[in-house]
Amino acid sequence: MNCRRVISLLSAYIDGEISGMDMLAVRAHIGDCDLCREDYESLRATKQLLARMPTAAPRADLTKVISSRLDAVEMPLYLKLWSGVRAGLRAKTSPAFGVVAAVSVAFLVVGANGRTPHTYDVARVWQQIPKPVTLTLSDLGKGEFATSETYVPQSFTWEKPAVASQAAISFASVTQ
Amino acid sequence: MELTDSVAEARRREERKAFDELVERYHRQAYNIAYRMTGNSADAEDLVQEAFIRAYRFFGQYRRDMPFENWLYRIISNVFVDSLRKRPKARIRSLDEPIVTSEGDAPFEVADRGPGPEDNVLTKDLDTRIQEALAMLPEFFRLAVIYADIEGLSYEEIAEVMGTSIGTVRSRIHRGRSLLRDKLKVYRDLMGE
Repeated sequence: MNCRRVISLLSAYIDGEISGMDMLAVRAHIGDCDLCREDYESLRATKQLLARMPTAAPRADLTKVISSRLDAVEMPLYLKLWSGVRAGLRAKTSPAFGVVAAVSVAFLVVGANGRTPHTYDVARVWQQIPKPVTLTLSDLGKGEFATSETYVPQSFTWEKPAVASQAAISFASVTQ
Repeated sequence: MELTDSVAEARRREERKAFDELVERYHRQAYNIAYRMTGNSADAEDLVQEAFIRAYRFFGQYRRDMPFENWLYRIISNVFVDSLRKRPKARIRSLDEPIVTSEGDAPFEVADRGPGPEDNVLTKDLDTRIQEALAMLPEFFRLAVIYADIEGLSYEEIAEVMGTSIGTVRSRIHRGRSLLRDKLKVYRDLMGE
């Protein structure tokens, strides 16, 4: 091993972060080469100087300052939800948890969509769905026994629950 | 609804209590490392506070298989590097460029940074000297050397904390330590090492 290679490995050698073969080669080299040994010793002394530095002490009330600043931290909603979901996954609860979490998220997304009630044009959507089965019994063609051909809902209105997001979070927390 | 609310609230309080205990347990270590990074107590305090607040916000993402202090070190590193990026950059000027004033131009004078008669190497304590030498290192070298030599982390841990490869850690430590060695040579000689 040449001097250049040895010098590049000296810090890792000092820290014991080197393979066994390299360690033996470096050790043999600095036993013979005065210049590299000097380099090794000066680097080792530098490490020792740092290691011997006194520990800097914080002021006595630093934890109180941190605590009062934590009081003011309001965790963003998405992080609360995310931490709930993660905690649930870590706890390896039943697969039902996944369903509950997914539904909670979906619920939240819909809930966060806006404050006004949403009106869905169900009639249009209904007509777009392919209907392979056509009922032929004549009785079913009338009144509330309408077939898929004749029964077309007109519209559907859904009010966003005021507490949708809270419900979802609580659910996620409880199921862990 | 009330029941689930109170359960969530109790859980939040429990988590906060656990976090307060972590603050109590690790704030000294965090402060020491922050002090070595920043070189002064005011910046070190700010750094520790910001790091704990960020840790609290993202506590849900903390993987319990990693030692808490290593996770905290990673946050401290990120907050520290972010704070350096936010700091306004010094304007670079030529030494030959005169200072233009309403009274006319004056040559730019450079302060003599060398030790003066009252600034003998022995008057300042070694700790201050090492701290000054650390502050002169490029920040990634400084962080790597602090984690290795002051905190005693392994290269693997440093790689995780700094979000880089072991090879990069190896080279940062070696270059940082070599630079420090050159800056501190005179003190090592005085100590007879």
